[in-house]
Amino acid sequence: MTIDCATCESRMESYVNGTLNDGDRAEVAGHLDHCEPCSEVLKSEYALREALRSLPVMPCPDTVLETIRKETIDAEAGLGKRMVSWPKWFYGWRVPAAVTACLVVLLLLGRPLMFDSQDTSVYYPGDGLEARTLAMLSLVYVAQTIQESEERAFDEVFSGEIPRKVHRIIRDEVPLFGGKSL
Amino acid sequence: MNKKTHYTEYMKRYADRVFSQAVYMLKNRDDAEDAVQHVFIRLWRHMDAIDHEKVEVWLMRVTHNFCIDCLRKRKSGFDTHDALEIDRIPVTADSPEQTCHATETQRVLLEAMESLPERTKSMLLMHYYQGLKYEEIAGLLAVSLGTVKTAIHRGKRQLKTVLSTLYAELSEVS
Repeated sequence: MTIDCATCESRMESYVNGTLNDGDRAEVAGHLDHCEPCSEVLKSEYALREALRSLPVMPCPDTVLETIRKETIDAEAGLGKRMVSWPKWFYGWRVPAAVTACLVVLLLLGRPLMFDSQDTSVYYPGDGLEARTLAMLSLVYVAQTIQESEERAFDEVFSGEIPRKVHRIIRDEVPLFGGKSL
Repeated sequence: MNKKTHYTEYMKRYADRVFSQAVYMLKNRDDAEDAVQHVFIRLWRHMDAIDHEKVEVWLMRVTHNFCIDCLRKRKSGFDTHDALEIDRIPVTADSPEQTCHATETQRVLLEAMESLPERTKSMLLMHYYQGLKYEEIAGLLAVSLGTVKTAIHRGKRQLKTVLSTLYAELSEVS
């Protein structure tokens, strides 16, 4: 049985894809044998298919893959570095601001800290411990934030900029910096 | 396999394809890189929920949606990235003659595709370039099978005309 050009064209896609049943396939093949225009359509179908398939696969840049890995696998594994972005206006002021903040904390809460080890008459065990903990945690937080944002070592930021005694206490007592537990 | 192993495997297998699809859709490498990041970070967040048998289709859907959004923003003037120069697309051919022919074909093809509606272009790339079936495209774009067939048929007709003109010119020259 022969088919007309319209039927042949409607089956062309499936013919090329190889999804026609044997009967339909034989009919299309038979029609193509003697129909010049349909053979041209078939040629152009193959040409387009080939042209689209031959568009090259472009390799995704490694930097992009690395960024993705950092934001997914590494971040979940806790390997990603948490960076703090500071506002530009704060850039030149963050160390003085941090030190001021620490001093305010020390002034408000640090009286037992400054005297508890030297003058037992003003030592209040409960208050002193709380005040010292708060002051130290504040300092540690600020120090960590600065350290993470600029990757500078804690000592670089703070040595000489805060009282030596406070520096020593933090260094010796805060676990993060190698000291014993509070 | 655990989540990380699966994910690494998917990145290895599909990152280039997602990137290429995005480059051809967006004609801009920076935007295509953004697309890959968007798609794979999203994949990571949905690793527990997606059907791993259909991850390829899932990736193509997210890529398609990102590209369409990006093109929409570009049309609204929010995105001012320059378009990719077609000459920068690498060509894989054996001889200089083949390279020349392939470059010309690709250039004409990509230019012709620019005149197609974005959705049709995306469907053609998914079907011929990525090898997705009509049914898969219909599923991922949430349209009927008939819509996909019609769009691809129209797109092909337009591209065939352009290509046949090119091949006629090339055969005259040679």
